[in-house]
Amino acid sequence: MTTPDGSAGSSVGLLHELVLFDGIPQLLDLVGPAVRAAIDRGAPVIVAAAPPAVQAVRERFGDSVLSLPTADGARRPAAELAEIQSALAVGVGAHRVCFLTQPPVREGSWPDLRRAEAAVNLLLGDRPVDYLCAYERSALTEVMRRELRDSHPGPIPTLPDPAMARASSLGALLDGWFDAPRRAVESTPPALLLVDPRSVDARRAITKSCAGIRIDLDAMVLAASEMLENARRHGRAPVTLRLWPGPDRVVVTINDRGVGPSDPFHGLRPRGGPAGSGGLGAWIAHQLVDVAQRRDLDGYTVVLSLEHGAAPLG
Amino acid sequence: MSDVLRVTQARRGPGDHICWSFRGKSEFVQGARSLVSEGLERRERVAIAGPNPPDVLVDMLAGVAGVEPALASGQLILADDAALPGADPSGDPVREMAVLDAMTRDAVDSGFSGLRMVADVVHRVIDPQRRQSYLGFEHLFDRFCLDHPFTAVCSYDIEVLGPESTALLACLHRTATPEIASFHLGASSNADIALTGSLDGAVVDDLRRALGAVESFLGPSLRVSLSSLEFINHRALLVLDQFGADNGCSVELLDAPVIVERLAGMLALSAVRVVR
Repeated sequence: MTTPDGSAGSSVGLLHELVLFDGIPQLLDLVGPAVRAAIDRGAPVIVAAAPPAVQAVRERFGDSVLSLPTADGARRPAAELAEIQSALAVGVGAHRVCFLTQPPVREGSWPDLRRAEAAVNLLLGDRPVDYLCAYERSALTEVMRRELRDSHPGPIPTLPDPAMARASSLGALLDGWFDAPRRAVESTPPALLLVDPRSVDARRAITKSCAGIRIDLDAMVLAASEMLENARRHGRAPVTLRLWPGPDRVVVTINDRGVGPSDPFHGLRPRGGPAGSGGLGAWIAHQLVDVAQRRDLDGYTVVLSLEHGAAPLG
Repeated sequence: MSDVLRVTQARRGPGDHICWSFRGKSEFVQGARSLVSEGLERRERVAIAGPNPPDVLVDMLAGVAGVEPALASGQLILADDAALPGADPSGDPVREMAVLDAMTRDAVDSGFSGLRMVADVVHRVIDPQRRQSYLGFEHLFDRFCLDHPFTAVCSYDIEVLGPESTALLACLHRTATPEIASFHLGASSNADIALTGSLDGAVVDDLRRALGAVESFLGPSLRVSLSSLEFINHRALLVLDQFGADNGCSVELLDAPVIVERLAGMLALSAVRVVR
């Protein structure tokens, strides 16, 4: 941590720090100074993590630690970004907030998780937040660790020049990460292939194809429908939807022949304009299912996936 | 028989409000003959209405089993559309409800199971301005059908009206060809309106205009039943929210699926709220 009391200091906006740990006890030791400093100064401590980590943090630091309500299986980078931004917007930010997150590393979530990590620097750069990202070392490959080091610069000064320089390189990083690798299943024949379908027909076909599979089907149908409408409105025909039920994960791809979104934050923040102005559909999809995106010679492809057993909420 | 008539045949009966979008006169004649025959068999009083004079209507029904005795007994009525308030372009179509109410009571008092009206109404909505005001009438008509032993078949010639105008009118009917209207805004027994079917970006303009049909009946809140909703996306929810904000009313969603509640929560809507 950057200062003796564990906080980033008053002259600093966002502290976006990477915490690699081996086991919960080490995690508690590593984040302890920052969490205790926040509690001592009466600042909110918010945790978004798997239930065992949340429980351990509360046992060590007390019940005043707040946790985000989402279940572990439903935690997604865009949703966490939205929740921390909401918390800051409604006044929690009167104090310097300590936000501890254990991002869910799943097969399908990594491509957008690393984009979200880069986006945090730009979206929250001027906010007084200690944003501690805890990753279990064994869950990461060496490539993942390197990419995380690139997106976790530690304290980001609020002074304009260094912040701008840093933001520029992070923006390039974010924009360059529309390169999710093609999944192995994509080289196999899909169970469902639709070319330029009406959204209503696509939704019914997805529902039929997923009959008997225990996933949050409503979430997948809504996410696919939103991305299909985006492809039709903003992409280039033909728009092709494919679905693989898979042995452990349902994968849906939506491809169009265009160049993809121009906004590097695509899906990670709501554009929030009037109805139909765009941006919201992708942001919603990112909160409902795992999303990966790529731009290549085939055009722009968005890959939506959900693990089997991901039960609906509520 | 056209698809919508075939699909709805088994459950067609009192309370139904059907939009039958036909193509051309011969399809209308074929469908009307079938609908009249079915109503007579079900012991309903059948009224057939449209711009055609009575002798043309009689010719149209020639050969349908039971037509002549039904005409003689009063089970079959050739209604003069020009005499109905809804046909008057300068009048308020809402006045037609009182006429239909009296006709329905008379049918029941005469021993019939209800009143079935098969109406060719395309001439009523040719004028675009008239069409917009007619949406309110169709919504009231939907409510009337729900509350009375009345079966309405509103027949619109899609070749005359065009698919877009037909779709807008169709979404205010309880039953319509799915290819024409993917959603329905109608009367509900436990809310102010019900939204059924599938609402996405393709229909947000129709939803916005269909909501205009209920503006004149609005109170401080609009309770919307979603118990038979198939799907709604964020753009349609934003239309509902904007409608509430524009009219200073809250839009209360009843029986909303969990996914709709999640979506509404993400959008931080100002007028829409999910009621449990």
